[in-house]
Amino acid sequence: MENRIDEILKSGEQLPKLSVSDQLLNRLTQIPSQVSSQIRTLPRSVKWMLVAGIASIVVLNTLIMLYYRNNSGSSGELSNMYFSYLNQL
Amino acid sequence: MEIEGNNWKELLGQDKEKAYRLLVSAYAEKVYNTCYRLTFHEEDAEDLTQEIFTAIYLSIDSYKGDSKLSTWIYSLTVNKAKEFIRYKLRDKRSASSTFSLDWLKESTGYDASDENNPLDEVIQKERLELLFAAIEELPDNQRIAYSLNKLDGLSYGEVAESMDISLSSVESLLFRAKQNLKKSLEKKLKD
Repeated sequence: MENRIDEILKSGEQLPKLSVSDQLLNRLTQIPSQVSSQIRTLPRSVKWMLVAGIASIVVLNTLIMLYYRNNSGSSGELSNMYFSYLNQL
Repeated sequence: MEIEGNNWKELLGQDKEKAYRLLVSAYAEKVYNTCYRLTFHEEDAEDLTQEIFTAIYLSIDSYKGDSKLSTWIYSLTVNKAKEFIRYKLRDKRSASSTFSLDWLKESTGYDASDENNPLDEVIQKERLELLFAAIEELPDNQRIAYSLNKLDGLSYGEVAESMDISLSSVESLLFRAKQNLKKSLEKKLKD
């Protein structure tokens, strides 16, 4: 039994060197172009999310601006109170 | 072909893709053989080799030149192999069911028999199937250390550097791996 086990353990040490197939070599040499194209190309959904995000920021800012323009009295009072110390200078 | 780390680092600064292609031509075969000895399956070995070279390309700028290029590549290989074994190979299949001696013979001209005796071939196939099945049952670190040292022919020092562990840890891993393999093989032979 001991001998048989030793023979089995030794059998793995005699495995020959494998050569790399042309197909695999091709896959490996194409990695740089694949990686850079993956980095450059954003998925369409991400692009749309970016556009929607920017659009919502613009709309929100416009709405806030319009709101404060229509209610300029109250906001003006507040800012006048805050900056009133400047009048004393 | 061994590449000098400093010369290669210089080339990397000038032309990253050329430096990468040089690595492929110098180390593809070594990495692929290591992967085969860790997975015992040609397609898995190819996939793992591709993953390793992708990792090499992505972290190519992080090579500082303070260690040997081959050590840096082997440590990346070991890290990727650990992930591959842990997440992709567990429960997928057993080595004994996928190991192909015919493929090995076709790829390398490997002759398992002394005098082209078909019986020798059958015996050798059975031995390798038993060995690979037993290696697959080892804990990941023991499996990697054993494969690198016994199947891939790396020295204790090279295994230690690749796995980023001490020499005594390698000795201990290999000792325990051998004990576990013996136990596992004994059980398989009795069944």
